[in-house]
Amino acid sequence: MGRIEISNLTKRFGDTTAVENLSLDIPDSEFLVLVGPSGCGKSTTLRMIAGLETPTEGSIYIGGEHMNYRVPQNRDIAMVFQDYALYPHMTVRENVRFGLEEEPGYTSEERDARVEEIADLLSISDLLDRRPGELSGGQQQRVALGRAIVRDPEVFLMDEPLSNLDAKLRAEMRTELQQLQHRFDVTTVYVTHNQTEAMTMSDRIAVMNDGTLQQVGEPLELYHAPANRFVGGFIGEPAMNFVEGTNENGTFVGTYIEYPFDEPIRENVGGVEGVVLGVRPEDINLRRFPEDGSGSLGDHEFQMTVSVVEPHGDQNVIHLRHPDDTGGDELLHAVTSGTTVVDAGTDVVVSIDPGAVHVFETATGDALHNRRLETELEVRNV
Amino acid sequence: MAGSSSDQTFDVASLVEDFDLNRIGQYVLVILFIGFFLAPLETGIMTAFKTNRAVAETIPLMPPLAEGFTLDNMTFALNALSGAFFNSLFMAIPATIGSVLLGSMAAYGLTMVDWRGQMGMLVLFLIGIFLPYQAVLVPLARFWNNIFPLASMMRPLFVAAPILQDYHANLVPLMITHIAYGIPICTILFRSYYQGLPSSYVEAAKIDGASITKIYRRIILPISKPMFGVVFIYQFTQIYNEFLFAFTLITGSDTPEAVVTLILPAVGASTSGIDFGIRMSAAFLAALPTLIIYVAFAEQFAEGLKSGG
Amino acid sequence: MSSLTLDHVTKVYQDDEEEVVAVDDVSVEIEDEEFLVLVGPSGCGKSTTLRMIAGLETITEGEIRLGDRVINDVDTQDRDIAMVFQSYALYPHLSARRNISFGLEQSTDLPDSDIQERVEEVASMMGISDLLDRKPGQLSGGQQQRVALGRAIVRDPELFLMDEPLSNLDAKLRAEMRTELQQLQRQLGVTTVYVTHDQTEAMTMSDRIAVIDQGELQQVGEPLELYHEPNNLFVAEFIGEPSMNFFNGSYEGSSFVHDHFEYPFGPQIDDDVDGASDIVLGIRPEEVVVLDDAAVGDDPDHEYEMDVTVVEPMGDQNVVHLSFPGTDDMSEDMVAVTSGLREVAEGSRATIHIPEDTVHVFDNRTGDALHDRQLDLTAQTLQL
Repeated sequence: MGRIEISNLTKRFGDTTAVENLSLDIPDSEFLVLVGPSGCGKSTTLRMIAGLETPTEGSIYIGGEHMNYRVPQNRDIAMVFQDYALYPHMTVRENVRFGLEEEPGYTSEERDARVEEIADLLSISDLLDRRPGELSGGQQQRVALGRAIVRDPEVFLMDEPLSNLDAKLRAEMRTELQQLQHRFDVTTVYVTHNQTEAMTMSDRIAVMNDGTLQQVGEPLELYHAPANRFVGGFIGEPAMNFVEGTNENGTFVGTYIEYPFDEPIRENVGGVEGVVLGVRPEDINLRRFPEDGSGSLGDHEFQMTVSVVEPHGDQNVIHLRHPDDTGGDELLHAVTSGTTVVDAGTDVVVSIDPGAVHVFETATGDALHNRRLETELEVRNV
Repeated sequence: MAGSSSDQTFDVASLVEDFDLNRIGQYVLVILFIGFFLAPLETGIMTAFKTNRAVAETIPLMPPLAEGFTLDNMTFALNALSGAFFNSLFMAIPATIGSVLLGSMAAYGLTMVDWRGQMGMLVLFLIGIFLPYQAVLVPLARFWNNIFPLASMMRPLFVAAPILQDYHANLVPLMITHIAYGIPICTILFRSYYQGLPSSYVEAAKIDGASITKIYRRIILPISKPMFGVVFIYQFTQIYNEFLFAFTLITGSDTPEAVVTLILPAVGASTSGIDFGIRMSAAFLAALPTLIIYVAFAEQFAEGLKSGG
Repeated sequence: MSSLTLDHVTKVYQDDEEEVVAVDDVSVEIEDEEFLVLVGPSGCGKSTTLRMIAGLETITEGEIRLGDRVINDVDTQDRDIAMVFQSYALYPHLSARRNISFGLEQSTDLPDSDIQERVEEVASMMGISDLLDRKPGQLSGGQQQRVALGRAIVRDPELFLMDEPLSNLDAKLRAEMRTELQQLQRQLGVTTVYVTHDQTEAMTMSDRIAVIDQGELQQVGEPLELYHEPNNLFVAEFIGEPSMNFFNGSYEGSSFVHDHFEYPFGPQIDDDVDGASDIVLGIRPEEVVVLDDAAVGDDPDHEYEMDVTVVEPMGDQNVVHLSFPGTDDMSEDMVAVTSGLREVAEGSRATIHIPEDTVHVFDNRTGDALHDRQLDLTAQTLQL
């Protein structure tokens, strides 16, 4: 039904390649999020699926039918735009109804009834006779969703629909959108630059950068097993720590720290020389540096100084620099629980468990080794 | 002591601030300018209501006194111009609507629809704006008189129509000329407005299944209402006040189809000299339609200017 | 350098015969070298307050003092302040260098060579030395931001005012600039007033936060003070992401009674709440415990069965949305945050624990806090 198959899709604007050789298979009723920094080609891809751009090469199938040369209205899709694109001169009712007018098989009464039904579902029934200009951002957002849902399409396309809302409302709409998608069971392609939206809403995430697909997978797969440095850095907030250095006989040597790899990491890294050590902030453990300055540091421990503390309430982000580094550049940042407060300037011992370490190849950025995840670890399926 | 004296100066300073010289200067300047610009207007209105004797004997700025007051000038001017009023409006209103509507459509096609050769077409429109009228006057007259004598072709139609007379047919070529020459500037004005609209309006409507014409009719046309106000006022004033085309395409001020701009110079002028009262009355009457249009479209005009027109 | 005092400052706008109070009797003292963040929802009066400090708006009532000097009637250009705008307000026709030097050229008689030296110094501090000859249009958002900051710093003002300077940047860059700005402010030691609607910026950057709502000051305090000891419902809800959970109910016989559950209070909360009837129970999402099977029954009075409706995996943590059994499936009653390595299945039923030392109680009528969670902040400090 709503399965989308994209094969070897390329789009060029003059000399610039916006999307390069993209292949993606989105099964029916999946919620796929296309995520990447601005200019990575995610919106262009979405617009090609919508039929607002024509592919230079490759093909797009929706529900098994070839779509490349089909006009948008014949693709059985609905799209929600970043600015909502509500028609300012029409009431909410007329806005929602507009999309139905060209749909065959409805009488005028049926159209009106359908609009009421959708309005009820989105709890915007009271707003039907207002103009978009009289609505708040969240309400406009709902109307835009209503306009998409009313046609009961095979595919929803959403272009950063939440980016104009404030943080609280965005978090609310996130779960609401997700529940709506579950209810209608419609294949959804959702474009965003916000990794939190990607992680929290999607069945699967497709990460794009510079027009090419970096990795497709379930949120936690991308989080714990990124295919390359870009994905590792893009997914997760605060971002993964990266330390550049070389692999010398199974030991990572950076400017300030040395980190001996254990056996499984050595196997994966092999003889690659230029490597980048990656570790998530929440996997860095901190303890106080002994007052007398003695105390022995383990193989995977380092002395560091707290440069900045960012309290978030529920957690603190601790920025760390190496004592030998006079420039004050930050080497690592760690996350601690919100009730553990550390003052800037404190000396701490940083320990990084080898089980939580990622290793990337400097030259290609590809992941050589991803962190170990003990699957039995506290997994709970009630 | 030192403390109290500084208090003193402080008080003086705050007093001076209340009578800020700068501010007084600004007001004086503003009033002077208002006077400078309004004096001719006032003179005109006063003159229009004065008898010839009063015009000769009183200062132009003075209002007419009891026996110096007359409405004769107005009545005379109205009689002289009434036919021309009808001619002007009969020509200018359709010409304005035509050029504004076509300009808006052209702008829509040039900004919101993708097709090859858009740039070339835009260049043609730009050339249309910069084409000097004087250069086309003679060819234009030849075209309408000899090559395509539309006026004489339409005469029978006008004879049959109510209210209209056969000579009104002579206004049709002028009307069409104004539409043609008005389209480029209207297009450019609308184009800048449409470029400011988010492209997602059109894209959303496309996905909703609306055709290109339906998008124009249901979305773009209603959204551009404020801009229509601006362009309509501008275009009407242009066409109504235009002289060169009218002078070329209509044979003279003594013909029955002459428009206001053709007749106006002759009203109140005779061998015995210029009758200022009549001239001023005629001038005000002639300006009336544009004033009415401004008032009628004032709201849209303001909104259109605000939204970046 | 000096302190800034807002003394009963009020701003009233005249809007079509109607008086709109944008800022209502706000008093704050901002110490020398302090970084104060004014935070609140849009339209709360925080920007108006900043603009009054800058001299871009007149003050209807009250007094603003910079050091000991009353600056109510001092012109903006004579206040010795620098302001960074949300839109950066860089002059598009001038190079980055000229943008930075412009203020100095206008306000001082320094010779050109001295000005250039200052500009170079500031540019190297901001890491934009290579960009000095570019026009703003050729710079990225982050670079423009740095130029705007450079323009503020170069004048060495007594006071920095910043109006949502990071809101045009993307999330990663914003997080970076946050620490950078903070370090810069420490380094320069200039008193700073920073306006934002983003509570994360407020929490992470400030020495103290002033929360404003509807023109009125709600609370002033250190970030963690506001987080753990909010004065009222508004502050409790505004600070913290995801928001605190709230339950409306009544206080009946030393218990909180809600449509779906009852929460018995211990003697201390009882003491604090005594006398109120209409109350709100609050708990932060990270304090809600999704119990392991083994731990169920340890504190049976404060344990509840709930349905998991939506799970939002963030990687480092999961945001779990819960509803009480028997309620409509779209409704959501509580949000809990669990560790990212722990899997909670959507649609499952879980046992939830609400520890008594973590709950807040508010008076529903006034919104005031009756009881705050038990947490000795000073004792916790440095407990690594």
